[in-house]
Amino acid sequence: MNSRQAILDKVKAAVGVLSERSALPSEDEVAALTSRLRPGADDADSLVACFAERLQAVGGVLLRGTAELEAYLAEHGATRGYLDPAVAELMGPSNLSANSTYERAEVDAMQFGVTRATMGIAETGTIVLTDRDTPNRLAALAPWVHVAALRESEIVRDVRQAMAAFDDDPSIVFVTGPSKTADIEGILIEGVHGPGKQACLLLEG
Amino acid sequence: MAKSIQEIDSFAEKLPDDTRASVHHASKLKTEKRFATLASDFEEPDTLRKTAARVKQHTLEHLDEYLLQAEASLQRNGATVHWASDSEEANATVLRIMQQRGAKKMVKSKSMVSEETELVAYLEKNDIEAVETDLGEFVVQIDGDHPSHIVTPIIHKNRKQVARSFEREGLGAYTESPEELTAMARRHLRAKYLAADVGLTGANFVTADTGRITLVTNEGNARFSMAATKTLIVMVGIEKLVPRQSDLPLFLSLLGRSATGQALTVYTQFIGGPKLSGLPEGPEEMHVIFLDNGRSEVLASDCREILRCIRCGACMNICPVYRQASGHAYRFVYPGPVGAVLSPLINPQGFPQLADLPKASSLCGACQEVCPVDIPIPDLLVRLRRRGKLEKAEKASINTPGFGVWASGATSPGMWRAGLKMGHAMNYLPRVLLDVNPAAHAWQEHRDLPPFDGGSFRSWLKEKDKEAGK
Repeated sequence: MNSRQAILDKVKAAVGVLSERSALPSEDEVAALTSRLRPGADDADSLVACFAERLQAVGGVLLRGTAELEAYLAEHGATRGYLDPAVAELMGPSNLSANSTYERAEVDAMQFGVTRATMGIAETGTIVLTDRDTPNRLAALAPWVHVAALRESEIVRDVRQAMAAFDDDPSIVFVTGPSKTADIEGILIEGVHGPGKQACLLLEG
Repeated sequence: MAKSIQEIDSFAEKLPDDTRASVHHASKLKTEKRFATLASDFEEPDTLRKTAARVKQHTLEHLDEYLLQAEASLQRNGATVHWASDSEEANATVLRIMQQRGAKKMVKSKSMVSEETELVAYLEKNDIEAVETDLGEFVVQIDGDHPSHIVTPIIHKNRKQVARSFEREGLGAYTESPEELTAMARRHLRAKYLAADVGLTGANFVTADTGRITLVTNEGNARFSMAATKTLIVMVGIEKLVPRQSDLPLFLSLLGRSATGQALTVYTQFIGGPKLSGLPEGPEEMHVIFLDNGRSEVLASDCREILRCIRCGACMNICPVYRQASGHAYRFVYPGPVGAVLSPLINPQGFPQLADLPKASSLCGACQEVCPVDIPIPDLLVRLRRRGKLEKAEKASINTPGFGVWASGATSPGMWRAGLKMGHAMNYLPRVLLDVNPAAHAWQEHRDLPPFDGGSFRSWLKEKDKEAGK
């Protein structure tokens, strides 16, 4: 407790002597600084089109329907994996064979994970994951191929709108493309600790 | 007699060519990407920088209030808040948290503040395994090296060096493929995550109103460390606050683009406490350590603007001195222009030890132009040069010719006039005759005098006065 008081006292003394202190720019002023990447309109078609374009630009892949999902997993040789039962229900019948639970002991064996996303952000091609919709944090992170399932109506226009929709979920993660590094000679490599392949299964509704 | 050459110059002179090439290439690349994205994505990128600057300046000038608000918000979210005045206290707090849980293994995400406290060395001394998980930081750790850039720690190394290190440490056979090297690190560190008890990260921002820690990584290492471990420790400098969660879209837009030219860094996490109960993976407890370590003194100084810094690295990427000298030349955790200001102010050896750094700049101003929070770095450098002179710091005067003669001439109009007339003679004087002062000698070794062209303004003014009949 001593250091707490000591630090607060020093900070208070440091700012207390200032003859003038800057004002905080209003929320409206900050909110007005929008990027050109944002979709021009916020009707469903514009949001979906913009999201699809940006997702691709950041190295993500858009999948429409279960047939595309199955083909994508096959293309990357991902035969063993996890499918969140909530996503399975949302997708309806498919030929996908996958575990309905994700066990830590099987982390190395699980090549893909299909989990539920909470939102999509059109401006940046971002998929938003939360604890509430992701029953196992590792399942959405450890497999080489991660597919996040999203409904069209869950796409929002920009980062600001997504953040305004935050609830008290303790872990909200923006995922914008596959895990990457450019640490070695500035060369871009995908799949460092997280997925090397990041896809979004976009469902109607 | 002081050495006649600054340490940063002698370091740069001895820098191997391939290191200089690596640093130059990578920093130039990032500068170009930054320009491309900020300019094309926003109508008025400068307005963004200036607004962000105002938000941060306001926060600093009300920091006591925001710290209290952040503490209350974090506690409401279920986090335990600790305060540390210096490195030693911060490190001891981490150790205590680990010992209370009987924890022996930590996975660590990249955090400049933990570099500042030398946390890893401290934990290793206390029988704790602490593994750096950022690819670059991991290489730095196994090599017993130090990061030379705050965003890309191994900007000074090439793939061959990394390959030799991985081979030596048994991660795999020598390969020059960055892809295979990355895969080796993935396998090696995966096992470390799953075996660790504690994950430690820094923080990019702390929102005072909602008590969320905002953290960005491209690799996913911070995310992994708080998926696989049961305890999360966040170590953060007291200057990292922003008042409102609604300020973050602005700061995130600037941070990603300024650091790597990305609209958003791949993983942007907003952490508001331990995991949701009932989930199998994720931290059951969360600790936040607010570290002062000299920041409150910087806040009280005339260089407080440097505390706005959001650690994007854009100033070092663009800096002609950094590109030539590389990060290690700055002799402390923070290199480049931000380091030339911050390092002398907060390094534990005291200001005089790094009093030469504020001089490692031509004051060209590029650092301020690219700064996402518009820090007036050139002004701050000049203030610190003055402080170096006033405190008679020996390192501050290395390689500075004396200005005493010039000053007495400049303050006496008669002597000034005479000097200007005589000055023309210098153009015809062999340079060797000027070489009398040892400091001037060192200075001239790398610079040449321009031809002297003084005095013409006075005669021009005289003519004008005559014409006007004065």
